[in-house]
Amino acid sequence: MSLDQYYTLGRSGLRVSRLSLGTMTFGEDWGWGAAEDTARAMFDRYLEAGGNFIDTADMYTEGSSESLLGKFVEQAGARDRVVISTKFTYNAQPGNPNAGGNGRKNIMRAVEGSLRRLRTDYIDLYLLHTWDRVTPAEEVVRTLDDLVRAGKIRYAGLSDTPAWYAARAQTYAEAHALTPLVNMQLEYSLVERHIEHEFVPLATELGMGITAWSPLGMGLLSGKYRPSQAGGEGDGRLAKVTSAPGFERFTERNWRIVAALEDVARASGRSMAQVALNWAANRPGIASLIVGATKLAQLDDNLAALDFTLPDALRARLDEASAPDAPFPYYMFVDRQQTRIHGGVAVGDKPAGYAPPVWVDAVEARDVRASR
Amino acid sequence: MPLDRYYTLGRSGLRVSRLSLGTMTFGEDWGWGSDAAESRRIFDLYVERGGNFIDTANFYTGGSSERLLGQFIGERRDSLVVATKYSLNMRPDDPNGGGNHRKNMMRSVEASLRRLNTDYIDLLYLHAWDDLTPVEEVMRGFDDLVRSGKVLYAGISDAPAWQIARMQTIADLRGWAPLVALQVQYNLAERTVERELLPMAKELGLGVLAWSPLASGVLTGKYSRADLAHVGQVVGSDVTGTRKDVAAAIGALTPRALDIAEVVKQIAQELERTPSQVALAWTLLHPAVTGPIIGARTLKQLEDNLGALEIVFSDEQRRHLDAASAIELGFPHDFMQLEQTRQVLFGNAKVSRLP
Repeated sequence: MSLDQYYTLGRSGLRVSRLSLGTMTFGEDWGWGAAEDTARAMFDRYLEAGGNFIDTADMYTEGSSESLLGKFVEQAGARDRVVISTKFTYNAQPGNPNAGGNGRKNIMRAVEGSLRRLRTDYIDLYLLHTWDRVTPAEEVVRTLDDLVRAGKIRYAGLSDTPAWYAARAQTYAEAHALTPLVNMQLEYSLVERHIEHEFVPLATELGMGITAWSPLGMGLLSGKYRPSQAGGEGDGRLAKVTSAPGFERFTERNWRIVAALEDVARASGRSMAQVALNWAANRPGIASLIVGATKLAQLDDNLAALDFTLPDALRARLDEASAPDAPFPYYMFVDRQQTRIHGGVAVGDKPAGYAPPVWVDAVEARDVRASR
Repeated sequence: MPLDRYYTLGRSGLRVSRLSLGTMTFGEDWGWGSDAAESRRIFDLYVERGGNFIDTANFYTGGSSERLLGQFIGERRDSLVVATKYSLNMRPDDPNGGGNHRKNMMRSVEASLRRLNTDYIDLLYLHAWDDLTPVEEVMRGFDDLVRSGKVLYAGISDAPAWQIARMQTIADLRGWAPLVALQVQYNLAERTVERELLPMAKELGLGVLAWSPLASGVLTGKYSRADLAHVGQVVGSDVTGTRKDVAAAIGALTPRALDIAEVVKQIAQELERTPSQVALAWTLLHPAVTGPIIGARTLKQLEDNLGALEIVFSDEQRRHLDAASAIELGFPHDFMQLEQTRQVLFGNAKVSRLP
């Protein structure tokens, strides 16, 4: 089982599973989530499988997600074992501009609410949820630093901001010895690969592990949609939102990707969801995928997504079908252009094996005790 | 040089005795420790003689060491310097239940404070390098603990010299709490720390505490060649079993170590002292060393060990001990000492530091 293998998140010492449990589906407040007993069953299943990385946000299901999670963690006595990630940004008091956004006043308000709902005195990873376009990066990182000093959060990160903003925030933090941003949470899947241009190099270079939200493309890659049977048609949650700006997923390009996924899944004997997750989890810069489910069976299927290796040929097929365009300036950074920089000779950064990964195998508990 | 003479630890103002009391032997959880009553007598004797520097770790005897110490300290809390450590895993299935990182550091400190029955730790060590955690994260974590009042000073144990040098330099540059102590294995049979770690510590202001100053008992003279065949019941990295099992398992029982123990015995006879006292006193000779950590299982052993502070070696005896235990410093240290190297560096001029 792959969930009980842990890797450090970005340039931090925090060990996390490669599949993170998304809890936006905890609670029925938004009309399509899971009721408490199902949510609890999914939480239990995830922990049993060895998972330790749980993602929520103050705004999910109007606070129910955090409240349910807090209750489950407390009842399981698992507070120190789990790594809880939550977020601030979205407004909690309509009419009050300072009850939302990324300013210091809202962050300080939001963190207290999250701690209360989560029934804990610390958050492991605290994220800016979405760029508000008006708050200076300096104010955000200084406030996150104050929260670390106060012991209310352990680590900080960003979600859904422009790359330049993240680069500025991280560099400012570095220059002023403030707590670093160790995580970026971004949308990433076979049908949404735009982060490869800016965010993946940014995150690997500056020590931020990427957690991918919607790794199944809002359900488009879940297996619910099968072009071989239904052509370019579908219903489900996605059908209800696909006309909203930014949520147009039923495109010709996407149906081609889904068709390739369906073929690869058939050829590898795995579910479409598992193949889509396996592909995403093994892409550069990706620390963990956030998997969210409304049914236990979906979660079970997803949790097995890293238990196999996708053959190179099949992986290449997916890479190709989903390859993003390379608009300006990114077409300048491909091999064909770069060879003119290097005068035609072969140039690389480091040979394979230059920095072997650190990997410590699991052993029986009895043998864990050290010699002193 | 009795126990009630105190010296500042590294580049800090903290005053400590030159023999630190090791408490890995407090509690019988690992099969070879002392029971609560004997531990108490050992603690009391050490403190009565003026000792103030007590060493423990979250992990020792599964937490019993800290718990017993917490009971013994009582009203003496402020006159003692309590050192403990974090990093070793006490919840084996939890990857964040051990390690050098912030999540474990904070959790471990809370648990230690509870077991020690106190609201501050005088000296918190990183116990062993995990090769995963960024050094900035460790140093900032220490600084936060110092600011919050839960820890007064930071230290490090069992880590590569270059990583420690980097950590200390980052702390200096950023104005964070520095490392003031380095705890490493150091004794006549294990002098490899003289290559990098001890010079680094002296230069960067870390006082050195020597663990296993008697080389797991080998330097007391209690083992002979007959014991070399001892394999013991120790499997892998387990800590339980007899002390002989442990000595064999960590590779302390070697022909070389026994030869060194022979010389120690000889010098002990000349001085009319015990071999343990000689071996302990030798560790104090290095200018970077604050003192050894003495771990006694019985009151008698402790009584004996405390006598180490009275030993004064003759030059001849120092040379003899040094020759018997010398190690190669290796590149670049040996190379730098070559006549040829010095010649091309300094020409014909005589150049050195102030004496």
